[in-house]
Amino acid sequence: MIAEANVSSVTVSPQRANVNVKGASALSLTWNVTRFEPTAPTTVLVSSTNAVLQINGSTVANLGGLLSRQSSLAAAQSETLRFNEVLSISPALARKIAEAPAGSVLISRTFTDTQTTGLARLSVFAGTGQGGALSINRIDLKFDNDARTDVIAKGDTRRAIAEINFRSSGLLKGEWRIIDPSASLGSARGRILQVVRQQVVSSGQGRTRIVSPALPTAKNGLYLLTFSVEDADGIAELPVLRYFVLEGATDRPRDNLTTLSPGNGARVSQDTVFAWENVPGALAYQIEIFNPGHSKVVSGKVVSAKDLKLRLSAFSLDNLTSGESYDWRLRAFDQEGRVIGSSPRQLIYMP
Amino acid sequence: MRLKTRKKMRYWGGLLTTAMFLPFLCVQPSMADWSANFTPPDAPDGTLVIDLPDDLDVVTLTQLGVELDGIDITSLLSLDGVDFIYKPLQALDGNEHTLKLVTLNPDGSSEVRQQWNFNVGHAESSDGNISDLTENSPEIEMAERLLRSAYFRADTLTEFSRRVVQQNIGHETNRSTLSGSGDINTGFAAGKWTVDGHANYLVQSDVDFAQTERTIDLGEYDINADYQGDSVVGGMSLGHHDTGLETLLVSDFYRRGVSARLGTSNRRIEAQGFAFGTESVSGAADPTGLNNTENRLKGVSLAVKPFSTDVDALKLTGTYYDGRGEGSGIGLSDLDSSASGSGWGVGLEKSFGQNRTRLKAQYAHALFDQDGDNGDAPKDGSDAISFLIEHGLFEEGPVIGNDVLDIDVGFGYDRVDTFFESLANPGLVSDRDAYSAYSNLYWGALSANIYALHETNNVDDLANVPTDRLKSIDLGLNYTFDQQTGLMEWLGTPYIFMNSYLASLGRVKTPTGYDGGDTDNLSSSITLGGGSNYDDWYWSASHSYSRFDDYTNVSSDTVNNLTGFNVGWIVSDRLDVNGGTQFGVFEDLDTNKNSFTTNLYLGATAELVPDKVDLNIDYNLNLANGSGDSSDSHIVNSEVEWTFLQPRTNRPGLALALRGSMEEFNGNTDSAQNETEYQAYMVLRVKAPFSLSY
Repeated sequence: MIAEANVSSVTVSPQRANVNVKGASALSLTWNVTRFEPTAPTTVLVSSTNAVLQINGSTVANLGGLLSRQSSLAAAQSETLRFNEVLSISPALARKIAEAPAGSVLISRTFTDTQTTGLARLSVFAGTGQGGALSINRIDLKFDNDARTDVIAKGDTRRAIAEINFRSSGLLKGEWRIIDPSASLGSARGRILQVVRQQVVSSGQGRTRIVSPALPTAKNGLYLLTFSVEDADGIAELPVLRYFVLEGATDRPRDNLTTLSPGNGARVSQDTVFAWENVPGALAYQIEIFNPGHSKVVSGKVVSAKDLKLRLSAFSLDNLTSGESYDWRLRAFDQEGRVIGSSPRQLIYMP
Repeated sequence: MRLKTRKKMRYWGGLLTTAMFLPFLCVQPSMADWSANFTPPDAPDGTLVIDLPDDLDVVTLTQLGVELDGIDITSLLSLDGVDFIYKPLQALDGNEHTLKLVTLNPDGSSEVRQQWNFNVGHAESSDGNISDLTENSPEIEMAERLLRSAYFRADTLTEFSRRVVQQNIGHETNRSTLSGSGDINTGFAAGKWTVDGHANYLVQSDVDFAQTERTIDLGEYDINADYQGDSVVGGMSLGHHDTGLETLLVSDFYRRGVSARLGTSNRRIEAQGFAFGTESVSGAADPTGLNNTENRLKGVSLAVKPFSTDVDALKLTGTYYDGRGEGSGIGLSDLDSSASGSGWGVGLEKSFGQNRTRLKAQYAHALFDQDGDNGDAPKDGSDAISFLIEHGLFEEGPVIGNDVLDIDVGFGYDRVDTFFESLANPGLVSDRDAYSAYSNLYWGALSANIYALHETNNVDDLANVPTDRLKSIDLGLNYTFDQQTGLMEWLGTPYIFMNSYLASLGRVKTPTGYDGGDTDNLSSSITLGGGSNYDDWYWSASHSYSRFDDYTNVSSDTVNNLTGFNVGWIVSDRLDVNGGTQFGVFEDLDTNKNSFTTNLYLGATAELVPDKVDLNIDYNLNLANGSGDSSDSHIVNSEVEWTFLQPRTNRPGLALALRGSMEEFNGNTDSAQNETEYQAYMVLRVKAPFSLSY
């Protein structure tokens, strides 16, 4: 007697999905196949050859591979088989999906138990997705001097920067994690240097910049640093920066000191105040004024580390000419004469 | 590191004390005809001494200032009797230096009273100059006279580590390891050329832990040669560097490569050619970064000021690039892989009213194939434009309460097509049509800014993509107070800051037949913080509140609070301690599930025996509980180092260290996660600094 089992239903979750307009996407799907055996005990293979992407009813691509599983049922028994898969959507397919009329794109699978078949399909759209769930798709990690491999003098101030590209909006949950020299030859777990919680928003694609706290430089040896983040669906492996700390005096920190005023391109007067953020470990700060593009200082002033601001009138203005533009920058020195901080050059104008 | 204190009386501190007794002193009349003697330093880091007349009166003394190479160093002068002593913050180079003794006038101007030119170790400056050289000069003499300065500095550290104890460290590593690194800087100036080079290297005998799977390998390096002629300037760079271009096509692009630049000394014409690898690389395997034709781009830029070179001059810039590449490498994680692209762009910069109004406009056209020439995705031709105008509200800012007020306002428009991409600007955010307006305010030590944005996506109007709109406003504020005195001295030198924003995201256009979900949410955030600096300690604190409300009810509404506190204290010349804590609460308002994070850091650096034995120790606590529960961790890192031969310049030093860490994990409800790991190493360390200069 031939058994007559039935695929009574096939469903898929989610029933709607969004893919990125640009670049590749990965769709996580769960197919649920429910069988019913009305007569006698049987063991059959439930399978689906592949998923099919259709636009306006025309098959555009076959996706995924064979899904199969043995199903054994007694008489009058039913079961639901669950198949999980991740479908890769290539950039070319994503482009076709984005340009297709809304509602015309379907992904379907047909399952068979060798006797009956069942089909389920989901609608596919392009864009940031339902509810705008945050997705991290690029992390560029570097030190504040742009390097990605660095050797740093003991006691110097150095920070790391994570440039993060994301889709949609939400709370970015990240952690700066570091492995100290005392563990970098053995354990790889590391400790949390700082927890980051930052609300990020975009109309579709966005970018944010996260600056680490001052990195530890008190011990000689190799440090490993990373920025781990949730919702990094597109990131296969987190980037890791490495820096080695040694005794030294030849370091060249660049652009790691934040100035507060004046703004870039500001017109300055004798009452203009130069202000900056504190650099731990600084003995003195030195403001330097240059002719644009030149390296020779035309004016400047050194102040002790307790001062975080300075009025322009405190400078020797003899070398500054009215009607000219100048570059200025700030440098921080420590007890040993090392430059432990430097700001980017900014433009000022002497009216 | 030992903290040294100045034994000599700080100049202004001493003057303050002296000034208190001024009424009781018999003040001599000012001596108009006195002169000072100057003793130049005998070494690059030697002290400069200005020998003032012993009977110089205090009033005259308070009116004196000193400039070294244009920098006013008066506030760091020490007073030894009535001699000015200055120890340079940084070792002086081999070039000629100028020291000026100036008299400060009450109106803020100054007059040079005496001036000395000197070279380090030489009482008098050289008489010769380059123009004296003839082709008949002996080559060595000519080279010596052309060579204005030269230097070589290298800091190296090599250590042999032997693991003496371990428990559960998880993976096999070599018990004995040789590791280390070095940082090398060198350069010279000859005639009108200046050449500087920098490189670092890493050593790691356990190649599983080496960055490039080589025991010793180059890290990053750069060599820069610059020519400064009377009418022409130029140069070239090799290694890791950035072109300095900030355009829609090339921006923030720091990679290994080569570039050359040429222009006029008045910057009327500036041209640049460049070639870079698109991946971020280290190591010596690809010294130029250009070996892989699949990861390489090249380009040119030309900037011209056609009419004048004054401060308001019109500047036109053209840029072109093409190449292939991947977006991955050290420090980068990117789903997108092999791509090919090219593009050209033009830019315009012009200011008016002596830089008071500044205008910047750019247009770029890009061809980009996101899956390369062999992929199925089409090669897209797309455009981007950017426009920015800034204006200073005041020609001369009003003085309010002794501080000048300055306000800038700006307006920008950016339109970047959906498929616009550039290999040389990989972080560029495309698919946006954005209007922005901002204002910056500067008033003394107060700076504030406000930024408003209106942005929509789906610039290419794709049929299956909804169009969303973001409206946001950001507000930031910083203020640094004066150093507090008297009753308020306990406040030190305080500062405060605030950053906040409000952003609304909504749907503008939903395509017919679209069923991919709606967009309607509101994000808000505010961070308040402050701190203070004192002579020997500092503290800072901040609190952030962020809220996300999804009115489509697809995602959860959430609230996040994060509080941080940091403190550091220089207890003595031989002991520093610092610590910090963060406490965060994340609330899912839909599910009522909360998660908590707590982090604590305590650290100390001590010099147990001066110049001999140093101790570093830190303790870290990481707790994560609530709905996001994970193992608690307690981590202790420590090192004791005994230096039995102090390194000096050009003489290596030796040290022996014991270092290790212990990590304890507590799974709380899941005891399977309970684990204790520890490891300790004996380390023999060779520190070898080298320095040569001319």
